[in-house]
Amino acid sequence: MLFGLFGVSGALAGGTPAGTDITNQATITYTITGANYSALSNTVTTPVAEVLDLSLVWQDAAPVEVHPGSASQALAFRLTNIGNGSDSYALTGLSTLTGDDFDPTLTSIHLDTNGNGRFDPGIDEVHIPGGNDPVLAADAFVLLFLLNDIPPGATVGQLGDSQLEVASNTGTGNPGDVIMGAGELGLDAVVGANGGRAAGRGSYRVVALSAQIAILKSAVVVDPYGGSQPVAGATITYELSVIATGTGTTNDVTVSDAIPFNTTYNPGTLRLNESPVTDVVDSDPGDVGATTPGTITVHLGDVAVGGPGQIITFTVTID
Amino acid sequence: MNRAILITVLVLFLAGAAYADVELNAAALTEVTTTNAAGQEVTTLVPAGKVVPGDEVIYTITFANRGTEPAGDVVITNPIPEHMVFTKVEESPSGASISISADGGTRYDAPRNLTVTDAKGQQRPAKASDFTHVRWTFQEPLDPGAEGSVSFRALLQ
Repeated sequence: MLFGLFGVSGALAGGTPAGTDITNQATITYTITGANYSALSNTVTTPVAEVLDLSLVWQDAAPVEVHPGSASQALAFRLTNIGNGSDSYALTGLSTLTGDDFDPTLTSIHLDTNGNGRFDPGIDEVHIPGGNDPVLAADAFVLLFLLNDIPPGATVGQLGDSQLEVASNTGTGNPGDVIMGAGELGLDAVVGANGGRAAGRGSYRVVALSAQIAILKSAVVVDPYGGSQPVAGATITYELSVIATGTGTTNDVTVSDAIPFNTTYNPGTLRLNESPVTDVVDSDPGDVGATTPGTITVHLGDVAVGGPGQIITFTVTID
Repeated sequence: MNRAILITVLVLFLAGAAYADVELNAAALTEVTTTNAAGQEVTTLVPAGKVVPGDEVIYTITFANRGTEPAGDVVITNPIPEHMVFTKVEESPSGASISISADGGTRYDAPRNLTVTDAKGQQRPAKASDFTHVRWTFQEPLDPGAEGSVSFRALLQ
């Protein structure tokens, strides 16, 4: 389904169509002893050749934000045939560029098959060199996606660039070079001002993953005999260490932890950052078994990245 | 029957002879710049071969009075070809005045005096892209045997 793939830009921006004949003929009128006469010149015909010219523009308004280690990140480009005859184009990507902070890993080039300006995996077909090179009529355009993986070692704030290079399949070279018979309908083709080539360079910017909550849980067992065997009557003191990673703040964080099977909660042992938290629902941040039966519930509120870790502790006895 | 044909042929011959008095030849040329043996850039005019949008063509009309009588009131008119836009007059005999039409050949005047009607029905000064014809009006008669040329440049769209 390729209906959305190609678009046409402004009316005849690429110029008079290749194959058009430009004709010129002059007329003369004069008098000889008062009598009027007229004559025509011959008609001089000048054929219009096909000029090979293209424009490639990176479409993203700003560097595309990516996470380190992410895969198949797309840069969008618009390729326009600014010549005057139909042409097809070879596409090549290059990510080992200088002038940026890291090299993305080039994976593939895709065509915007559904023409929606966005890379849709599985729908926007992968470019196969020589297989589905885009074919554009004069003034038509197509959207292309350059896909890269971001190295896991890239750090927040770094920029990585990737370049798409396009060449006319009819020919490239110096502006004005004539490629006999290579154009549409067997006409001669002339390499245009851009040499039959165009390149576009786009950028990725590495950003951190947004804030995530991590909970580290540890347990200390004390048995009735001075050891740490998990036998009946031994106590287990759990410590939940809650921190936020990434960027920003996570709001309204609530931690729930079920009292383990075959243990009984020791009343009054719930602590948040060493402050006691009553077991009943009241104005303090937590309860045991009230919000959810058999469960410790502690409301931490907003947890900011870089803020102090929140420590929740409680003790149970093995039945 | 034969006499009628003979008279017809004579009439055609005489008419043809009168129309052939002043001859007109049209050519299309382009400029080519090359570097000569001394390393200098040299520009020459060659017959226009292939042209592409953006190229400038020099249309040259040569005229010659092959008759025995002077030709008076000589006017050479060249419609600007389709897809071309007039750039400027290149060559003009000293005795000829130049005028332009922007309305398909009805009115000829100096370019600064020409107006066209825009999409909103307003009059605005004519631009080169509006010009439809260029004309040379000779002030003096063309003597028998006299030759010359006029030319203008136009840009392929």
